[in-house]
Amino acid sequence: MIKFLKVINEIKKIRKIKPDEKWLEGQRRHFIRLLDIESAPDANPLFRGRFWFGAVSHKFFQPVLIVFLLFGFFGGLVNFSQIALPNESFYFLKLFSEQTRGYFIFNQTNRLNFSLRMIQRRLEEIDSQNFISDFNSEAVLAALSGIENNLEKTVSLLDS
Amino acid sequence: MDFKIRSEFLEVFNEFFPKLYRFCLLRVDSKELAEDLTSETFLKTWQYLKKGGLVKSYPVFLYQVARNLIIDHWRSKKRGIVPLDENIADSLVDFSQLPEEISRNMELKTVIESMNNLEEEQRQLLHWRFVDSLSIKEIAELSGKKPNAVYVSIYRAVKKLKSFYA
Repeated sequence: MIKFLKVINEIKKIRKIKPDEKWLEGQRRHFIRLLDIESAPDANPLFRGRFWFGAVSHKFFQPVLIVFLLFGFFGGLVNFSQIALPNESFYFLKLFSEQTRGYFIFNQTNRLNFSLRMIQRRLEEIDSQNFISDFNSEAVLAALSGIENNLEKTVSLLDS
Repeated sequence: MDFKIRSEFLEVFNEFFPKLYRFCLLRVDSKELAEDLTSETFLKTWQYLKKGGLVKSYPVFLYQVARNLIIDHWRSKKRGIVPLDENIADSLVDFSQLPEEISRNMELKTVIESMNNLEEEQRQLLHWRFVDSLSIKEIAELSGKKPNAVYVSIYRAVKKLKSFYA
């Protein structure tokens, strides 16, 4: 067994054969030039276009990008829902966004103003029903219940 | 071309260029030719990558290219066998060197000359395994054998080499 290992160690002596350092360095330079690494746009982080593309493909940025896109999509939907009327499918999103916005108003006066603005909105929604050919009584009732809720809030705010 | 591939290729170059040079040197006439073949091996690999080719394992690919180039060289010289040139072993011993270097190179010469007694296939197996530290899986891919067969062949080659040392 020892002899076996000795033979292997003898073979390993071939590792001592090394190319001429100068020639090797010359070859390395030649290949670096050939690969065009230094002038590659993505090798330079200051090259913005490719840098951002590289950053997007990076593992860390992928979840950030997904969250960013989701927020963008949801924000777009919320924005789009602001013109929705009570009989339309995105109306619930409009109410949801208004409610959420209401939660983040901490000043009493601002809250009161916001509540009054919401009553105004509901009234505008009922008013718009008069100009629509297929008048929807359910939509009017939904808007009215909205007014009722907002009025309750306004009264409670005034009491406090 | 993707920067990742370029930098990967450069890493492979740094790791395998000296190894391939050694591999070529032990199979051709002269140092100059070994240098040319090594350089050509990398050039061919780069051209393949540039065309959009995919390389699963760089060591396997590089050694395959180098081996083909060596075979082509010997074919063009109309020599059937690929012998280990004694001139190469001799050229390692330069008497203008320091005494320690001479004795080190004498040892090296002995190893190369005893390896010369093996068949080319066995020499390649031993070289890949013990000189260039390739994995059995890589050697199996290169030699077209199953891993178990590679183990057995390496064992037999070492045993044969041992008999020359005895």
